[in-house]
Amino acid sequence: MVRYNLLILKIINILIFVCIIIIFLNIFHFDAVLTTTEGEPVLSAFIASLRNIFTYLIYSGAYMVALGIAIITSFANRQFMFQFIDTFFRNYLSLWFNFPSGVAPNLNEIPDLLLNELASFLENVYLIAFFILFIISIIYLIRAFLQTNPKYDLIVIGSLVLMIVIPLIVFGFREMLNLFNITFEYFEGLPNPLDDSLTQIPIDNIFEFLGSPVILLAIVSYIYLEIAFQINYTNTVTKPSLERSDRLEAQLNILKNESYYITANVDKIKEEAKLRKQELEIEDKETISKLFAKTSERFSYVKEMIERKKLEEEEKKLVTAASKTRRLGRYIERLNKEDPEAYDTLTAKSSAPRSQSLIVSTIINFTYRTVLLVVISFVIIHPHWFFVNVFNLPPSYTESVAMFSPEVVIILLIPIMLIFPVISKVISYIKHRNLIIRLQQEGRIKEILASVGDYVKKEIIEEDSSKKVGTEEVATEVI
Amino acid sequence: MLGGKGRTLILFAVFFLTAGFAFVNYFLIYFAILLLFSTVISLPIFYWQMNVEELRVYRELEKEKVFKDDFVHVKVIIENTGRNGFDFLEIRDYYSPELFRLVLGENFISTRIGPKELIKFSYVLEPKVRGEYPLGPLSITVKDRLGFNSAERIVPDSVSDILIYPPYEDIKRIEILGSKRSLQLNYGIQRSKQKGMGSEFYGMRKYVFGDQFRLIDWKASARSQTLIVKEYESERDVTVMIVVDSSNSMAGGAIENTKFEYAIRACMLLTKVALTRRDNVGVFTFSDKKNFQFLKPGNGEDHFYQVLDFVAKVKPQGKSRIVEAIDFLCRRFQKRSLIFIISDLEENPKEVSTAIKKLVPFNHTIIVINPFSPWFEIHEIDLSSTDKALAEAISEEMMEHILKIRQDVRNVGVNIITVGPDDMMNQVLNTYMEAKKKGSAY
Repeated sequence: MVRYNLLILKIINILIFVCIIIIFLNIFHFDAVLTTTEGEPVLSAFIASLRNIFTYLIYSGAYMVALGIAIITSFANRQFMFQFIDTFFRNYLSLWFNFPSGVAPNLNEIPDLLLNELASFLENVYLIAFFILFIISIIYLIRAFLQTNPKYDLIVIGSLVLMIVIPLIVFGFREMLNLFNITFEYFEGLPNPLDDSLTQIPIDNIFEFLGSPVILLAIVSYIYLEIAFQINYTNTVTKPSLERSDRLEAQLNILKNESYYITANVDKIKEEAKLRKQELEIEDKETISKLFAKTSERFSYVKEMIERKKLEEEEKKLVTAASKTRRLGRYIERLNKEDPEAYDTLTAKSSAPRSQSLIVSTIINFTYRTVLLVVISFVIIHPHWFFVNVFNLPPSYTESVAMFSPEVVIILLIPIMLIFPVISKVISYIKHRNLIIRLQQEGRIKEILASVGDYVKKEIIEEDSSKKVGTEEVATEVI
Repeated sequence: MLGGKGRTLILFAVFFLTAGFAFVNYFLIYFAILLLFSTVISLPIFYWQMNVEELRVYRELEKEKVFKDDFVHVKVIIENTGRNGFDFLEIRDYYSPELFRLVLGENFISTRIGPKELIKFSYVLEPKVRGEYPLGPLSITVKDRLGFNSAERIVPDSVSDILIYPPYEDIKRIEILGSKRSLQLNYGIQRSKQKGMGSEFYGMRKYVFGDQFRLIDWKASARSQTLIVKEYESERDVTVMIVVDSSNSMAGGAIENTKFEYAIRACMLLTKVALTRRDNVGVFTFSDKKNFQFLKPGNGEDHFYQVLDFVAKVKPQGKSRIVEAIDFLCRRFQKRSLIFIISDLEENPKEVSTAIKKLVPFNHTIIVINPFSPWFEIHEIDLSSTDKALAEAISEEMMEHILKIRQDVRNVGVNIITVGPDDMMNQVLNTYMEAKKKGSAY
């Protein structure tokens, strides 16, 4: 049942991802990055520019190596050699290469051609980055579906967000350079796939606000992550107990079978150990005390014993492993007879949460968190209304340029964000104090603290135990 | 406290917020706000619902005293007495992997617990080393369901002590042997025999030169046409005092197979056999002055468990002070007895012989069992040639050392029996039987 719930949640998340893509395409003009400025598809342009760069590099490299060899080796007919190399490269070897212009260039033309190809390549890298990010997003969506891991979901959303961030960084850098009157031709030719709506949002009406693709994309992306975390929670809470149960059942079955096998074949195993002993050439033991008497043989005995010790370890392993398995098998059998709930506790069957309560709690938690988040974020991103109606600030403030800059959200963002940890600290303090008062009133604080569980920090326990150890180190006498 | 996932989200949010401000991008700003608040929005509810004191977490041990070669079933019970559930609970029962081996089940659980619910899980441990060791503590980690916030607590009084007795395999082997071959005569109830003494008839045998004439059974002699004498056994008990060296040097080698562990096993075996034969058994362990521990001789089945409890708690520590230890023993206990000293004798040979000679005036029968150190300490399968050479050199030196002690104590009639791990139990048992046959220490 729980596995079905997880599957349903994952399918819902894939549908949400489809919504994200639909909204994303409203604010990200993918068609702008599908082709280069020359109208060539990005992928083929990228491959072509890469091929051209390598063509020029290899051709010019080979040419220069040949020239170098000619300079070193020919003393008399150097001019002839240069002529020969030029004819050979331009008329014969160039046939192996596919130059963009169709003819083999002169050696002095190659640097300019290479720079042009590099500029074209960089433009293509910028364009192809969007494809790569989009493919990463899809791949990790599939991985997130197959393996529950919120990291994959973060990568899915992170890749899409990065598709927005990359043009912002590139064009932000261009604008920064413009401030210093520096222009690069490379930047001027790059297409901007982002919609203008990303720089302004309708903030006077909540419905228009929520309906705008920019905000909708943010909310839907967040919902995707929230559901991914809920899936991860359900998985973390249920999977260990389900797996534990399966694993333990398998272990117990193996143990039972092995135990029976060993009990039935104990003589055979002993025989095997004996054979192994013979293989290892371990002879019957001679006691060490006898050797003390034989002074002359002592040294060789020591040597032999050291060798024998090593071999015996090997031989013992077989018998010990068999004996342990048999003992454990017998122990588990006895345990199950004496403690009827032992099997259930070992497999932790009682710890598996009920799927119904999981579904209900997931729906409640998700709804409460999402609604509260949308409301709070709307308040934070819309501080103007608060300044006018709640704080009654004069128009010189409320109508100032700063009020319409994005940074104004910080005015409400930081205080409202800090409210939550402060409230939680207050709750924690009040609860702890109430507990202490209640226990003091009952007059048995220490005993009750211990019995109901005064959950203390780890360090205190460690200190106590170190004191305990110190006191134990005294001479004792048991009579 | 903010968990790992919470911290990651905040980092993402700060990056997006900064980028949003820098490039005037409302998508990034709004998305960053959503991420930031998602980490803190549940915080007040998390603290409101986190009434850890309403969780009763405790451990139930199948048994608190266990033999080293046995298993112990540990059950952990989590009971939510409150009205609120816990979305995400991690319970871990700590144990030291050096002392215990987890053979079945798991010592932790991640789950969710509703109000008034009860959850149980259990696991099976195998003790590795003899002694008294703690198990626990129990730790609880409460997380919010998305893993953004978490709080870890240690359950008070959640450390239980387990007393691990030495392995029972040696005793079991003897018991099986006894039942198989009806060796009750050899290992069962048998009193100390003294020819011509006592009142209980023991048996008959052929007359040998030196036997008293009054012991000749004339009727039986007439029937068999050869002289037959009657034998009687005395009803006197022997006191066996086992003196075990618990100094640091006895702890050399692999933790499970040290000389000390073998010494304790030998002590347990000797106790069991001697008590079965209705002898009194006392134990004295020694290292330095702080660590002289003496268990008064006694008998009966209860006394066996007293010895078990006593030896289970002894740890090898401190330097061996054999002379002071024997002084202490002589002050504490003077009754003529059969004394087994189990020690690696790694002290100065003069000190050892002085200590042994201090026991001689009390007419004790003294047997020194000497575990030969190198044999207990070579436990690596792959010894390098340097290690082998070292082992050989150490063994040679140790042999010389023991021979010197042997020569010193030979003239007072004390025998030192050097043993390895394979023959230690047999040697101890045979020596005891031999001593009984000879009628030592009556």
